[in-house]
Amino acid sequence: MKNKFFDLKLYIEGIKRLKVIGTAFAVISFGMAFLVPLTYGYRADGIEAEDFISPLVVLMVAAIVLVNRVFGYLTSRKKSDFYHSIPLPRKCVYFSFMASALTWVWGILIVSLLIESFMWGFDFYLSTVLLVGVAFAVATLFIMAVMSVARILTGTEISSMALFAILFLFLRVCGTIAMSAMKMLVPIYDFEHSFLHYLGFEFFLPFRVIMLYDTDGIIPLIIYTFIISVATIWVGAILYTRRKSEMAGNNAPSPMLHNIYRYAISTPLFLLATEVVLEFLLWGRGYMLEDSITILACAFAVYFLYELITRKNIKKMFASAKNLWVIFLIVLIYCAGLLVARNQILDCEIEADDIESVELINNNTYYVYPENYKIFTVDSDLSKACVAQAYKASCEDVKNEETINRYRGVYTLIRLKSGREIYCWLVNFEGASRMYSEYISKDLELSSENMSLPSINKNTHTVFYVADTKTYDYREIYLQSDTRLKIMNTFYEEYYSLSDEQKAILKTNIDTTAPCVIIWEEDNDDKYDYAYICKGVYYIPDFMPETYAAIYRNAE
Amino acid sequence: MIKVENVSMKFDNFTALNELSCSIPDACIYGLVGSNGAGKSTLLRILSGIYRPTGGEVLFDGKPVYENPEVKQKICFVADELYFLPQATMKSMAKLYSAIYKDFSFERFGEFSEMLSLNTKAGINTFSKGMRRQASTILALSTMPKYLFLDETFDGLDPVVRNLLKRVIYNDVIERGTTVILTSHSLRELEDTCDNLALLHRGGIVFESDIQNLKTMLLKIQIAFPEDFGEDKFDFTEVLSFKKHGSVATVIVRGEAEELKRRFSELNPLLLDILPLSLEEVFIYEMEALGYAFGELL
Repeated sequence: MKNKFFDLKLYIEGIKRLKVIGTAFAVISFGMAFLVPLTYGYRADGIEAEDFISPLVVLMVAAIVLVNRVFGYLTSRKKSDFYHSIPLPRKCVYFSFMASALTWVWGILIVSLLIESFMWGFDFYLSTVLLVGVAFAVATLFIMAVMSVARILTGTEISSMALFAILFLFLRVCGTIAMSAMKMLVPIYDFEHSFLHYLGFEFFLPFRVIMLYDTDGIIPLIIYTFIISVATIWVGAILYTRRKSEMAGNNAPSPMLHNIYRYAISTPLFLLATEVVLEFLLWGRGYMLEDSITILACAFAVYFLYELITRKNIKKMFASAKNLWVIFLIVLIYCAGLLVARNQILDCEIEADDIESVELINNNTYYVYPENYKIFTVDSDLSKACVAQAYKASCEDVKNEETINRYRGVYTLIRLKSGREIYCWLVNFEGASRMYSEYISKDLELSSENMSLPSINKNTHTVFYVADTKTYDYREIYLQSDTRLKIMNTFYEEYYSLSDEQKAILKTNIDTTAPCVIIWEEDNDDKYDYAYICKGVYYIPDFMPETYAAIYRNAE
Repeated sequence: MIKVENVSMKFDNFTALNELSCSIPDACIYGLVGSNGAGKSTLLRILSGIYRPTGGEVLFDGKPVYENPEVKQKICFVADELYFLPQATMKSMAKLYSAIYKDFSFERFGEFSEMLSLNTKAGINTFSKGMRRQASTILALSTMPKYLFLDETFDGLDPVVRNLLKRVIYNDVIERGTTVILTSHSLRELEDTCDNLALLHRGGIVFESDIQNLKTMLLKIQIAFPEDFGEDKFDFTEVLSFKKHGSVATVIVRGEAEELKRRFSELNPLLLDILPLSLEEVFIYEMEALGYAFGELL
């Protein structure tokens, strides 16, 4: 009996206890599963994973509420005493009640998906609905695991919700804030490829499932989250076994943990304030001063309000001020860490000899999907020297606190012989992108296949963009089809009159300040996949004056 | 047998129990009496396996109780603050108890509910405080416990119900060998119920004895002599209290009743009355003998 992990009677008791709330969530989710497909109507491009999401988002809330409800007795001394006195191993009580809540959530999930599948007329790949189901099942499992741990480690509703927020979001929020700070401190560096990126919300399943239109890399994330969830549930079981019943009604098992909860709940805001203060000090942007003061005020408010709400005592709230030094110490360490990391990145000099290869990547155009980025690998000594020089100059710019504009730079992956990879924007050298094009065109093999443009047919669509020099963004130009055709004819005529070297420059041009032509082609082969495929992205150089002028003329 | 060995319990800076030790024999009713904060409820929670003591150990027939379902299956604890499921009826609570306690007897539950005229289908939230206490005691008794711990259970019950419940408990002790631990603020409440009694004060047992012994070991004697006399006249026995008003003295002495009666008669007194002592009086004199002022304890 000591090793009993599950009790059927207690599990059924848990199911019964959750019947009112569970039914309410079921009604909402089933209703949405029924109504959403009706309101969407016919989907010409097939049913995608994202079309299943809306009714299931309710389950994220259900997961929190149901676990709170089933372990609700942990906040009341008499209830807690009752469940701590029953003759079942505590692990068994924990697992049985967790299973009850899980049954409700997963039950609603399965039925909702079945309703949706029926409403969509089963007009989708089975793998799509399975992926959605598994992703949501694991995401809700994780939420429930974290919520149960938060419940066990606290004794009041407020402190348990606060601890849930801490356990659930602290790492992700701090990771995002740290990445944002590093982006601000080293604006030429792309931290999307650093470990900080993995601490962001993109790699956090409960958030990722809400954006299931992008399913790339989600399966490893599901597996990772499942492992973490199981580990968290196991930790929950151990903590439940060690939990003191007398903790019910208290905010935390010990005064020290109470302090830690308060620090954790207010730390992200203090870190955010640190970033804004640093930005103000480094770049001297006036409006940052107001932002700094506002965020700092919010951080202090959260710190003191948490104390006031949980302890319900103004004297204790003021007394907590004496512990603020811990926050200041955290901020100081964080600040020092940021500056050390910044200096390490900027002080790292790259010589041409250190470079294995360089990839120049155009990823500035929002509408171009990653597979269509222009990626050129260059490995000539000339290009390497150029890149090394540009990298050094860009770092100097950051050190000298020059305003950095990524849109004027060239996104580059520098592969070093040591194996290290540096993703960065090279921003500082005269006519950077033009020079790149020239260097690259010398590196590329000029084959006839490389030099041709995509053929135009009835399925071809063209889109024109011009760079907005004020916002550093792109603006699409909406044109009649005959105008578009005229520009394209001009573009093609002008292109085929160019020399081979100029053609290569055009094809490799990544000067994002130039007007842009994107050629799409309809693809109806795959019923459920994207109906358009990008065939080419061209930034018009100044040696194509007629096309250049035609685009700008119509942009006004 | 329940053996409590040097049990301590601390809540942050507050010491609720301080190296408390006692032994509670099987099939007896053991009373714990003490003022608020004396540690009665804490001791019962430790005995029920709810709290893990910060020091010492509690053994039930040599087995620890904390996180030991085998032992806890034999225990039922009725706390001073009662817990029922929201919107629960006695019937639904009985189902919950039967899910938890494998020996739960619905027959016994029905019998006791009928005896106390409690509607098992009515919502417990419609019950009076006393009825809730009855309901929870019935539920506890229906689990067929070997150890039954009742924390101030009889407080707030009317005399008729109190006597009914006490009778049920006596029967359980006699027929099933149940060990019952009762707590109360009131000595009078426990006087006619318990076999053994312990007085708790500031987390420790200051006095423990079986009641029969306690009552028979102390005698209250009113005595008068033609001549003047003092306490030293009774040096053949232990005098706990000596008060003289005029020629009549009231003496509290410890000893065997028949023997003392004989010895006092041999002194040829003008007046000799042996009066019964209430448990409260016994406690007062025993505590005074130990150096406590009884008012501080209860």
